[in-house]
Amino acid sequence: MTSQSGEKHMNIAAVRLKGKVLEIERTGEFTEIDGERWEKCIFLLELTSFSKRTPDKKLSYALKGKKTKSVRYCLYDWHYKLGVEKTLTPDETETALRGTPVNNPTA
Amino acid sequence: MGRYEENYKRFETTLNLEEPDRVPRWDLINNEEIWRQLGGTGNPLEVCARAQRAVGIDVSRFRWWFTGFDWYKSKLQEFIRFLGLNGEEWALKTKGGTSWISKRPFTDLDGLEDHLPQYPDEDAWAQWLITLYGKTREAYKREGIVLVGNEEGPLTHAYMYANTDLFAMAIYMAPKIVDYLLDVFEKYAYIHAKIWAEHDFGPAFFLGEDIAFGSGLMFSGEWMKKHLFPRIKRSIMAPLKKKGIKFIFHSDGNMYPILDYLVDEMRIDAFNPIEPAAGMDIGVVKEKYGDKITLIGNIDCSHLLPTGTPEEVIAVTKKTIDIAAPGGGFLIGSSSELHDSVPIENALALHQTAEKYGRYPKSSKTR
Repeated sequence: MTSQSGEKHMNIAAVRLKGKVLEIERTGEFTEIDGERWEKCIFLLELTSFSKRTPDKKLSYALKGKKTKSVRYCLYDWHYKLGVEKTLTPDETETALRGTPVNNPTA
Repeated sequence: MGRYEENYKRFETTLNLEEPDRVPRWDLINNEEIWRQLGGTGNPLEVCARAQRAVGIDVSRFRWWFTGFDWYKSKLQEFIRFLGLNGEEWALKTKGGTSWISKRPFTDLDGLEDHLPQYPDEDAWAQWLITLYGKTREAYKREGIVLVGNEEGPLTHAYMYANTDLFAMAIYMAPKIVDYLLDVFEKYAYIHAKIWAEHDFGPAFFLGEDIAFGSGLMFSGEWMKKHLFPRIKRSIMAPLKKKGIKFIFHSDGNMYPILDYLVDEMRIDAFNPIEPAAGMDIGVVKEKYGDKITLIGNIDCSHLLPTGTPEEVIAVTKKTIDIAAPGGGFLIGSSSELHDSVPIENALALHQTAEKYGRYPKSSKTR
């Protein structure tokens, strides 16, 4: 997309960032969803790339490796696996792209 | 959002290597007992769609309903209609739900040369596909199932047509016949992929190109890199990629010797079925390729699904989700199809377990 000033920018709503799970903080807070107790967890992610949804988008050096936190509710053991890539929600992506990564511990 | 839209979103999210709300369930029912018990009676297409839904399938590639579910019979009928075969010269045998060509009009290379297929009649083949997919997609959509385009690859068609032994002999003794057969079936698949893409029938296209045995490749990798893969790339993948449609490559067997090439050189989007009975380990494949391609299938339909107990199926399903689901990019299903030897309870054990245990972490209290 190109604005009237000729500046190239991306459609933020359509893109999603990905990050590798470095740590998971288990808060011990549970919420009941459909009769099951899901645990509120805070995932510490290291930004790695954009989703395959937008294959032409390259992560800038300023964002690469930056850490961000995401809240997720977990139930099964496999939900707590470290080292896997998670995709940020559009809201989380938008915040990160605007330069204020969500709850960034290093910010 | 309806079931179809939810499944479409799940599938698309998974093809983009993201985590949807749960692992999508992929399969193909080729099982008369399941059709009869869960699909009811009536139009074979409606029966098929209802049975797929009752088992819990979200995404399927089934498209052979028009001859009463028999894949080989449908295939032969297509060849007769669109490649000019004389139907009286060909015959099938069926036993235990499996069919194979029992009569061809040739037994040697000279005979094969005299009975080569014609190039496909493009208009007739295209029109048939448009009608077929239009009806199938609508029936599937009513049941909330996402349809995937599906064709066999040029090599599979060529050796199936000629008979594998004769085809292998032709590679050495009659390479021009081999080239001709591959040309014909490349064109056949090209028209199919083009129609799928032009009519926007769905987000993915599946190419079944069985090039491996349990012990490794059926044909030399170097030979396929020269004679097969360039055809797939230019004629089948190109029209799909142009429209952003994902390309799923299928081959049974032990595919380790060629997977690097398929992922890094061919740039396939997804791989199926990661056959455990052929030594394919989902953990190894996920570790090595999980950040590049979507993985589909893996629940063993050679031994586990036909002969295991539901408890064993549930345990393997959970273990497979543990390994392959984190991070997204995984659809679970049988390692080929729910064939006639798979009892209903095992088909249900697989897909019902995946529905519950395959749920991903949620990003909010409600999602």
